[in-house]
Amino acid sequence: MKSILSCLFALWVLLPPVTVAQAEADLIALLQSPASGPEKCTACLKLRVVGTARCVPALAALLGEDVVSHAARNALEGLPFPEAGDALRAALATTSGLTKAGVIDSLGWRGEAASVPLLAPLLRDPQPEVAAAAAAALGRLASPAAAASLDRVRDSAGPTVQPVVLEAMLRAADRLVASHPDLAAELYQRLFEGEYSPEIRAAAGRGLVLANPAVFANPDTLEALKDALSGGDRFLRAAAFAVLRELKDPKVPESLLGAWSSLSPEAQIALLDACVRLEVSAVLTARKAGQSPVARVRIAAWQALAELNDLGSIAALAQAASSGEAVEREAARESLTRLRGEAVLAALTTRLEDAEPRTRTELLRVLGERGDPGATEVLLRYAGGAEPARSAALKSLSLLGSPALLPGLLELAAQANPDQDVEPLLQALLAACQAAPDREQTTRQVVEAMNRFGPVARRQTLPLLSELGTAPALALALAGASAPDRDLQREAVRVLGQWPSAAPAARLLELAQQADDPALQVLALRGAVETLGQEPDAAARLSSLKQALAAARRNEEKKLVLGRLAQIPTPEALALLVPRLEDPDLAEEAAVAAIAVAEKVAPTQPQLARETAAKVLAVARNPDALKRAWALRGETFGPGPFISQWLVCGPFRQPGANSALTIFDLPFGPEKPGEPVEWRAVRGRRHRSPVRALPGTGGLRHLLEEPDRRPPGTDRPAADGQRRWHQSVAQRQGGPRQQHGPRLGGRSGRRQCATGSGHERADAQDHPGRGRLGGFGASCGHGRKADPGPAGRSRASERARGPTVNGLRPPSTLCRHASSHVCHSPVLPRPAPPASEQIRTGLTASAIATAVCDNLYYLLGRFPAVATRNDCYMALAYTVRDRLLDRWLRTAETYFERASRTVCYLSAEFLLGPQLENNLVNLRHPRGHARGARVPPTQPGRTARTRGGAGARQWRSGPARRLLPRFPRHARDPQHRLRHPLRVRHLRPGDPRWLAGRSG
Amino acid sequence: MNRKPMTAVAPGAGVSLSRRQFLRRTTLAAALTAGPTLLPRSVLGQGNAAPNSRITMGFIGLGGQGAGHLLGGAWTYVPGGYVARQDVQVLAVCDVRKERRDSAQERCNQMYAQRYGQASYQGVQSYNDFREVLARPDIDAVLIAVPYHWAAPMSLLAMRAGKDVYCEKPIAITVREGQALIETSRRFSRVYQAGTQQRSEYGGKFRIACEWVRNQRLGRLKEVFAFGIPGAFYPDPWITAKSEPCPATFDWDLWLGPLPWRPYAGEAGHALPGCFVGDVNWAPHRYDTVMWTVNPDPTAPVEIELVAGGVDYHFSHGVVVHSRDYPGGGRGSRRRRVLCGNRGAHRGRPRRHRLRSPGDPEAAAATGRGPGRACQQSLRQFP
Repeated sequence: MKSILSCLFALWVLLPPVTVAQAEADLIALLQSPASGPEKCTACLKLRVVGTARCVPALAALLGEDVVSHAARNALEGLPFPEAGDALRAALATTSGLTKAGVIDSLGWRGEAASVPLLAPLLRDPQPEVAAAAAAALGRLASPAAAASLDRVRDSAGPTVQPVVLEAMLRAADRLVASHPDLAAELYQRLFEGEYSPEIRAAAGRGLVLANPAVFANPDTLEALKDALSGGDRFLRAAAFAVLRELKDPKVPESLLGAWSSLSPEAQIALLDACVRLEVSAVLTARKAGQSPVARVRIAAWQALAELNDLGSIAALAQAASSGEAVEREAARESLTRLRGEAVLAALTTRLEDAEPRTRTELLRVLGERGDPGATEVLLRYAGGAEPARSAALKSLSLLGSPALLPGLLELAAQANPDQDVEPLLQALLAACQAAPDREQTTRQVVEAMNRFGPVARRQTLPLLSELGTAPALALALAGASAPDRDLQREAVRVLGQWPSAAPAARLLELAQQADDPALQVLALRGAVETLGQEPDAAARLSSLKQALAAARRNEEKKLVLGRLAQIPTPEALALLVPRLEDPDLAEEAAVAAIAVAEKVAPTQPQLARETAAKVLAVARNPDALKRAWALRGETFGPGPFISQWLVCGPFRQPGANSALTIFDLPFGPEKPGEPVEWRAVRGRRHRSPVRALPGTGGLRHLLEEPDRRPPGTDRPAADGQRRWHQSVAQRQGGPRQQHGPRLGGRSGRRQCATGSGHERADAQDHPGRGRLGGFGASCGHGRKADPGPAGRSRASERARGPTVNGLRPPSTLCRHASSHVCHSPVLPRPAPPASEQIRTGLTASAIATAVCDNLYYLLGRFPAVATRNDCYMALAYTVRDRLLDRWLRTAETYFERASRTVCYLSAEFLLGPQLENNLVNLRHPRGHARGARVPPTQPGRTARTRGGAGARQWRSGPARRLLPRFPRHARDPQHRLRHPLRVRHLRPGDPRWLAGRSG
Repeated sequence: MNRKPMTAVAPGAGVSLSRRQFLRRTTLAAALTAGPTLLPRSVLGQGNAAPNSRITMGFIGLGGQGAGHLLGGAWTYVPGGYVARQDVQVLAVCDVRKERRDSAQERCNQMYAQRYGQASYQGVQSYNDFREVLARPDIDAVLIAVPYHWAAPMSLLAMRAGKDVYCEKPIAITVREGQALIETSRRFSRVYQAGTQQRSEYGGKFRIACEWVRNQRLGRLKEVFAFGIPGAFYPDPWITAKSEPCPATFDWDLWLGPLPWRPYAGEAGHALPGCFVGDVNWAPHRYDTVMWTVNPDPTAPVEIELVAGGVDYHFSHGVVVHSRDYPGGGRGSRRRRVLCGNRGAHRGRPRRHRLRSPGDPEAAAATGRGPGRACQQSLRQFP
């Protein structure tokens, strides 16, 4: 909207002159009409751009009007016509107060020198705002007369006007420096010597010396600057630093150098900076600063020496780079790297010879970081020497990374001492090989050299071959793999296993099948499996992997092969994988691989995929594999759920309800039973996503409709995917604490009770809230033993993890039987949830409402009539917490079982109020995605805002705060606010409603 | 027009002011803040940095950004916030919302009580009126994170009162305000830092990218696509029909400050709607780094051209800055600054770029052709 406005405005500005003249006439007419104040303000704004002298009278007439005066003078201020200035001056006689102050201000900004005689008397105006405006305007006009008038009142002005007068004098002096330097200096001098605030005095002092550097010829001035630099007055000190920074006269820093040792560290740094900038004995100063006992002065010195390119300081820089604190060492290293010129290399090399070991290491490192190819020779020399210089030189050589280094490095490799670390040399060789543009030629060089090498050197340099990856390199590596030397053979096989193509796979397989050395066999097999990943032909890869599987002798290698088979999406790969499901040692890996392949073949061979999934479900224990298998088994591979209807809610109005909170608490349609609502059908393609179905209307409520295509009585796994409800012996045995958990991905439909009692519940029909997203385990334990009552139902015991069932740990949620439920909360009027929902973690509206009432009763010991808001909040929080526990503990258990390394982060930034809302939002979705959740009100009788049926419809809506910005401004008003289903308000700490009673 | 009495307390006065009086006092704000004489800094705490080496600070504006700087949070660059720094002593917190300033004061006092082992520590004071903070002589610096229209006036008053200033962007809404900030900072030798963290934070990567472009690693710079229209102050008719009772804990008059009065309509965030064009909030970041890169000299563009879809800025050395996305650059170039030289282009997020040595052959390898007028190839210097 604003962009459009600005474009229109710009187009309006660019209109042809005739149209502009007409527009100006229209605007003038508007100004002279009885239009409203805002309209006139807008017209003034436009006239500032397009107005001419013709509009000045109309604007001048408005200067005295309170509402539009500022707009009119703003327009006059920008009009480049003398008539505008005249009009403003004329208005001085007719206005008063703030309006007059505004007119004066505009005269100042226009630079109307003719106004000075009119403004000067106003400095003594009884209205302080007028006097202050006159002072500021005279400061901007900055003529000698204006300065003189300001000077006259600087001591006699009132306490509120005087600071403005003094700053105006400073401003006037700043502007007079070029034209009237003497007058400016006089003004500064008076302000500096007067009894004014330290800010004014410091500013005047700065202006004084910058306007006339000759004052430093006076030794007293120099002494004053020196004192100010190290003195205790922070305003004067800041001004002195500013002087040093801005001064252009080299004599001042030169004079101050004599007092170097008496200056504070900060002053020394500032002086050094000035010396470098003005080229005043800079090198000598920087060298002197390098000897300072203060680290920050030394750091500044090292940086300055690099700036000055002082080669004579290389020794000091190298010394600093090899000792001292990390920050200083880093600064010295950077300075050594930044030195420039051809002589630097020679200076560094000369310094190398007689340096101490640590300093030499630093210098060698600098040679690499400078990237100077001329350092190759000296680096190679030290690379053939003793440690630690050897490692530093080799590291620098790898930084240089030049192909020209290859012969020298190969020569070093030939002479390598077996006791020395080969890694730096290998890194340098690899860098040189990588930088070589012609790989074939490099291969020739390397192969020739390696043929000359002894067995140790050849073994150490074998990794170069896989880096090159060429045919001659492969031949040499293959030859190594057949060598009689066992160490060389193993290294060659290892290198072949890292080859960048599948070329050595056949030979590696052969070795894996024939080798009698177990270590070599394992190396070869692993290498073969690894390189087969590069094989582009799936059939050839499958065939080779089949051979590898046959050749594998240990389970570790077999698992590797299974993992690689998972990347081949063919039924043949599946045929290899499925039999391994029966091997208890390989079942998990085989299941993961099989399910991965089955997912890929499912579109073409759904039956095969389903069969595989069933087999995986029978044996697998990996939760992820089980989830995927279950999804695959239930997947119909047809169109999924889609949005069929939609509805716009609101505006929400009710007579007498004015505040947002009151409206928020009122039910409206479709939440209010019986209120007519109009559902609209989605046309065109059917989508799951509301954004795609109804572009631009992501916040609308909609129905998600999914036809139930599942046959009744289908086996379902438990939440953790580790049990089947029908086959759990332990459940059938019953007990006082029958346990079960939420069913993952539950769908509506007819469900069979896990007790085996034979009754079936058509819960989707009975309880419309149990939709696809809200579907939870309908299995009920039907506890045989009476509940021991509140005293026996401690939260700790209820939350304790139950014993394992069939070796598997059941989820932690409890089943609560209907009879015990009723007897423990007889006094609370609340909707009686159906039996299928009477579990502790039910997610339908009625289950949550019941849980809130229960928590209020059992945990907090209150009944609604006496419960405070805090009690209600706590009851709701406990209710949500119960529903989060299962996922929470499962996560913790997973970390425990896997012994995962954990990074703990304790944060106090995220307050608990938002967390409750987040948790409410996330309740519905098993993965905790921020999908919409519907949570019932905490008041009894306010339930069942869900819709559903056999078709399992479910409300979905995101958090309202995410959606609101998409709506036009009026939607943000409370009465138009989109109602979002969460009925939790943020009560900030300190809000009296926290602890007030219900009526509070 | 209804002009309700103002609840702001003038420094030292303790009386209610009418709006007209408030404006009058604001006009004279320099007079109100220029007077105090400096006292020694606070002497607090043991076992920490010497009191005299600590910077005493006041925090004005305690919304998301201000409270983040003070106490640590998502948008701060100081771990734990300034209150956790050993070289800073927070003495004052200030906001026109009572709950904000009370909460910040309580947390600061708690943290200092813990640090100094003084359970009854109450050294952090809270203020509704920022002028009372500026009038305190023991405060060295202020961090200002306030609505757009207040940023420059507050900074000016703070510098006149002798405080060093860190001000969150946008630091000014008119060119005149920006020039006044520079002038005042120089005149009173004050340290003023704008909260343009892309210059100061992120490990200097934006600076390195800037250096690369200035050092002609892309050849001669030709065009820049800054992908967003910069913000500007554009006062709409200053009227609203809506009016709501202002909460007792919110000083609406002081929030409005230099703006013309209007009734409280329930919302007051960074800025009132209808005042600005373009992206005032993020454009300072984008155009700051663009200007830093494009325009080493502090000169403004010599020509501004209104084109379809945005504005083009022509600089004296021939560079054109377009306020739109890089045309046809694909998803990788959308909402990214793209700098095009005659040897290549830099697109993407500077914070992710990798630097290659000048001799790196990969740096010279063209990886694709850009459709821009001057972009013939795209280098991988800054993937």
